[in-house]
Amino acid sequence: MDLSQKYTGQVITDTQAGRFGIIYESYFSRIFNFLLKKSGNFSLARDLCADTFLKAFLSFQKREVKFQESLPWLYKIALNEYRLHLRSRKYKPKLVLKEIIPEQEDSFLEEEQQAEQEILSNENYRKLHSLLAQLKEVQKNCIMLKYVEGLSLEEISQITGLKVGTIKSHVSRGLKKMRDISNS
Amino acid sequence: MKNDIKEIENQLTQLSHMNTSITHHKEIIKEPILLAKRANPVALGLLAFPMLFMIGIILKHEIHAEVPWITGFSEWLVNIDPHSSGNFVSSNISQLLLGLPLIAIILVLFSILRSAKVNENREFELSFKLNIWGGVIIILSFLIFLAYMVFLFSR
Repeated sequence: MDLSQKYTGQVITDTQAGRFGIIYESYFSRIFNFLLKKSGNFSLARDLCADTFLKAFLSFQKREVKFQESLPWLYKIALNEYRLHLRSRKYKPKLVLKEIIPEQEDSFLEEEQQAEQEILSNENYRKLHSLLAQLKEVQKNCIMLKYVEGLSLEEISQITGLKVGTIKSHVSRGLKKMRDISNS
Repeated sequence: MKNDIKEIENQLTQLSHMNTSITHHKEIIKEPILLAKRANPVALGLLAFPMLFMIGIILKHEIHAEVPWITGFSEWLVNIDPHSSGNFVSSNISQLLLGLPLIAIILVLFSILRSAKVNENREFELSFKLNIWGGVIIILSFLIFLAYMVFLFSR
């Protein structure tokens, strides 16, 4: 049973868990797709995404975040999880609990194959992913958040903690580097 | 040159329209009652004294070895209890010390227990998530109890 099922019913917005349930329902897919495009690895994106939401949930219990402010907050946690992954060679999510129900295994595989067809094997994605991989992490983050996630510079500033001018500079330098690499 | 950058920008923007469905991959989240990373060190701390005590007793009574700071500690604990008359089995302090592993086990149980409320079915799910340290603490606690029981019945 997932959190979305867990908090459906009569207590949707009356409880803290119910309010987090709405955030989870609204943004799980978005954060997952962001991590998938960033990492290019389905299983890793799934683990990182689950750990992102679990950390967000634990933090939400201590200090509630308004729905309107929750998306940049989730991106921030997701980027932090990704950074942790980069630090350790083998990512071991510490908080994630996984339960795969045998009858659902087919649906799980189907979704993985679907992601493979829709994103990971897409020629445009693969080309851009290899170009992005050669950028500095901060440049890559700024570019992905701006173009792929369609966030405003102010939102990116909230997520990364960088000034708007610095973000513009990272985006510009990153794009130039991508152009140079693709032309060479 | 500028067109190249525009093209890259367009290609990146196109990525925003590519999304995959992951409804089946939403993780099952169950809340732990206590976080293992907090409960395990406390439980290990609680086990330290009874372990030292039992090791001292085993060294002295079974192996007949004297390791001053271990056997001395056990002896000291038995002797400060006025009701023990030198017998550690009937010592109130040793019984009190053996209550600590029980608390340690309860802490570990709370940290490995996960709960989830199923509103639709009016169910409350409980499950255990085992971790190595939790297992070690439970085994150590039972070993302490076992050693005490062996002494208790052999006397």
